[in-house]
Amino acid sequence: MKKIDTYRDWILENINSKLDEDKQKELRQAFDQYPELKKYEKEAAKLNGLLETHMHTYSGFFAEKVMQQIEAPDKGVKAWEKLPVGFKWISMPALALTVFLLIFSVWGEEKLDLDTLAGTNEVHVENMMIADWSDF
Amino acid sequence: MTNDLTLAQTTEKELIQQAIEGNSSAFRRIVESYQDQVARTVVSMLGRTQSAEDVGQEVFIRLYKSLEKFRGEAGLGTYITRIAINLSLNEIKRRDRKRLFSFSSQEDQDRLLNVPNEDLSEEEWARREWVQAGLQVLEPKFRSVVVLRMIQGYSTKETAKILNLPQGTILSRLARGQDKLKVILENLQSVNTPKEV
Repeated sequence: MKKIDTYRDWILENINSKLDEDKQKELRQAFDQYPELKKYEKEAAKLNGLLETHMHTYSGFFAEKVMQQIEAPDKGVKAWEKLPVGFKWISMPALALTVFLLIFSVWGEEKLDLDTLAGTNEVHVENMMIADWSDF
Repeated sequence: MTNDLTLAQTTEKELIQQAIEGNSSAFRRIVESYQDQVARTVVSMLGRTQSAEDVGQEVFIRLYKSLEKFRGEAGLGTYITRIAINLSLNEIKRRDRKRLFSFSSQEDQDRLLNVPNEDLSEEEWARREWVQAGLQVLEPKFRSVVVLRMIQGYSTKETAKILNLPQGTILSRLARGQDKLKVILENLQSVNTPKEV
């Protein structure tokens, strides 16, 4: 930490009347050691004056808007929290049914191959009728 | 200046406790007490834009959700300012990303926030706009220090705690930030579209 930066900080504190007496004394001595601090003090006071009055406020209904948002999303969060529970109730029976159908299918065919799993083992492509353009 | 003493400490503790227990009017009082402080931080960081109001609302929503975690080591005002500055910095990053993927040359497509009814002279209003424009040109890492230290009036130690940075970094950023802001404000008097310094 540079000593001069600390003195610059103290100048700001002093402008805002927050610097204690011991530091004020040290700062006065620092002005002799660092002549540039005098110039900084003037500029800082000017900038501080500009920024100090830099006030902003929100619209009159700001608090209402915040409270509405706090009270409304609660319901949404509760509904969202129910989703995984609902998903469990649907997904578990669906998974059980799928496993049952798979076992049933294997049992019936007495073998397990890709056609069985895909449900295409009865399809014979060569028997499919393909219309010829001359038929039209 | 900080509003940490806006509510008496005991009342503030009671209000926080009541808000945690679900008393919405207690939380509403907290919002009303600190909304100007949040506005000063967020509008100074983001400009007088709609997103500054959205971020302001988000500050209090985050506060509401994290009230139980608030241990009271720092004042409530400092805690709220920490949320406000973090959300503002996030919003600046979001804007930068948006600008990167946008072909628009507009700095911020955000529409301007309605001006609250204030009795300001034309000269005072122009001066405020000039300072606001200058702050928006300042890099966010310097802007955040200038806002906390010079607009909100936090000490270097408090600013360091809010930004989670060493005090030495705050001092050097403040010094550089002031120098840059001075140059920006001088330039702004003659140039309409300054570049980031």
